[in-house]
Amino acid sequence: MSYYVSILLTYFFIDVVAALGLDMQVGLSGILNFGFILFQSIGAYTVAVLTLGSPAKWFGTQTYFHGWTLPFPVPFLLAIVVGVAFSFVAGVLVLRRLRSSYQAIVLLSMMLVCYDVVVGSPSLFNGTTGLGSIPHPLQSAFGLSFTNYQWAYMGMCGGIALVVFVLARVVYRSPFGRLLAASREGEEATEALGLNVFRMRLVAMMVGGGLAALSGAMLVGSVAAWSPNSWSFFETIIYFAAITLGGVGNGWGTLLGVAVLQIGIMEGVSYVPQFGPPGFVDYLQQAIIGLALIAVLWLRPQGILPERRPRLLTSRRIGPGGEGRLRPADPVPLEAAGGSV
Amino acid sequence: MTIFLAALASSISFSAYTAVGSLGFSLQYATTNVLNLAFGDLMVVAGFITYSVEQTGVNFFVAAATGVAGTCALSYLLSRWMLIPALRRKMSAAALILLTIGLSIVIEAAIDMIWGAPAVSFGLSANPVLRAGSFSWTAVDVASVVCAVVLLFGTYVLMEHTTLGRNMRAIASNKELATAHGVAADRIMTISWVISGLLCGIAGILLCAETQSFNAVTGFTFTVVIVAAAFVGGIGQMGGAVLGAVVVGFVSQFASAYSNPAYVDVFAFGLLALALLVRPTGIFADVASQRELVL
Repeated sequence: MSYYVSILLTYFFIDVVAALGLDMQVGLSGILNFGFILFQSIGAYTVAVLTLGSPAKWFGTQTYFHGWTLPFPVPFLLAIVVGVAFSFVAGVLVLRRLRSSYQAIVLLSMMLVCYDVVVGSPSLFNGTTGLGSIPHPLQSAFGLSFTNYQWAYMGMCGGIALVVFVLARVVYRSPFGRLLAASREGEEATEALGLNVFRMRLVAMMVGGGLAALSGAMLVGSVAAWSPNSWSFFETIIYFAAITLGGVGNGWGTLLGVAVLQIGIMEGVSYVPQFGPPGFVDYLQQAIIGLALIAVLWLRPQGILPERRPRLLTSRRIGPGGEGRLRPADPVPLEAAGGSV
Repeated sequence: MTIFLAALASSISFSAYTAVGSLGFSLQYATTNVLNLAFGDLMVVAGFITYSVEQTGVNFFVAAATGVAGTCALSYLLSRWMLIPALRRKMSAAALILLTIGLSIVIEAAIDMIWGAPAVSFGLSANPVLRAGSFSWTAVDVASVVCAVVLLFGTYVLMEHTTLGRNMRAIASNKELATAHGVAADRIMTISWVISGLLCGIAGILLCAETQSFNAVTGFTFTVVIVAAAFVGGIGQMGGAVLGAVVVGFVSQFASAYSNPAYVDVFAFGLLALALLVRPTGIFADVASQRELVL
């Protein structure tokens, strides 16, 4: 039971990191990243090859192009670097000229190309079977029992999630965050202010990609395995459903969405005894995710916890301790905030 | 030469049924401006209905007709219950795409629940009926080329030489203006979705027959192939959809035949990304418009 709780919490924290990354792109900046799971996978595979060591030691039971053995924080940090680098490339290609639905299609096809290449070339990352026996970070260093280690790892993930959450909240409220939101609502209006929307979105894309890669690294550290099954397109949709359900652009909505869909429906139910024909519970979960996405878009497109609309600051609002940090001089084009999700 | 002829045979039949699907997809996009990412899943639904009816011992063609009728009905219900209300609410393009993705996931889950995850097959003959060296076509290949030619010609006549077609083109180019001129936009949109449901159903049965065995996930992969064809040719243009299907078909079949057959989708998806990045309006947009096939 204790093990079960620690696993669920670990997943919760990891999914929060990933969902905040996606929210940075989709919720705050309006980049419909249908290839999101690719960036998580990049982080996961990076950590895998940086910790597994030389492929020769597996005597052909698993193959990958090359392997290293680096000490704990290094693979995680490099995973973030690689994730950011790939997001930079994808962002430069996609964000400059295309409108959002076309961006979505290109990112989706990039992800599917990478997926099919990984599946089709087992020499890269062991194909469909995927990589396994990936060492848990620092497991041997402290000599903890398996359950205690799970709790310790959960604590580390919780710490990372907390830091990311606090930073995300800072970004949402920062002038930069509000500019991103403004450009999402009215791209032309924001550009008319002399702002480079492309560059701002590129930053959001890289931050989101870095967080996705970090979440992938954390996942691999927990489950010790990674295969194409872990990053099907459906996984991206679960994240989309979670942030849409909770409400984008404020952090709390993301926490709620992840808790309900990722943990409640996807992970929680996996531990319930199966009923019905084989696989029935999986399909039920899938149907619930799809229906939840449709229902939210239909009934409450702003999500359960909606993003706070920007308000014009009156003198009443500016005072010690209140919202005085927001100076009226901040260039937020409130008039541009026209449409909704 | 052996590889060349084999790739040629598969390219033509693949392009044929992809063109039918991509035509239906483009018709939906042109009249309603919705990128329907559940399109491939609807195609596979036609295949599964056909499979179930065929299992009861009915003639295959009767079963196929039932399958096509099924997707037409589904398409009608979707346009009345989901699409038109969504457009009336002025949902953003992003929300509309997510809506069709949600639909696609629900359809796949429903297929898995009703028919199960293991792939099924129509059990049609795989013996070649047309053969010249390594160029070989089964009856299904011939049917898919014949269907494509008939349907493309039919759609062309419908779009260019009937009042209904003119109204659809009017809605596609400017909905407000067309409405102001007395075109019943909602009704025309529903009709265009039913017609695209017809194309979708036929393309779906051809796809399921061509792939020999199919299951719930067959649909989404093919959606992306169809999207590739539609975008490569120029999205929303009937002629472009067909040209795109031919280009995607030939490039993916030939490139994979000469490199790694497992990469057939990689080339199609790569072409899609490339087409959008290089020329978002479609590589063949100009060719299509010169031939006055623009919708």
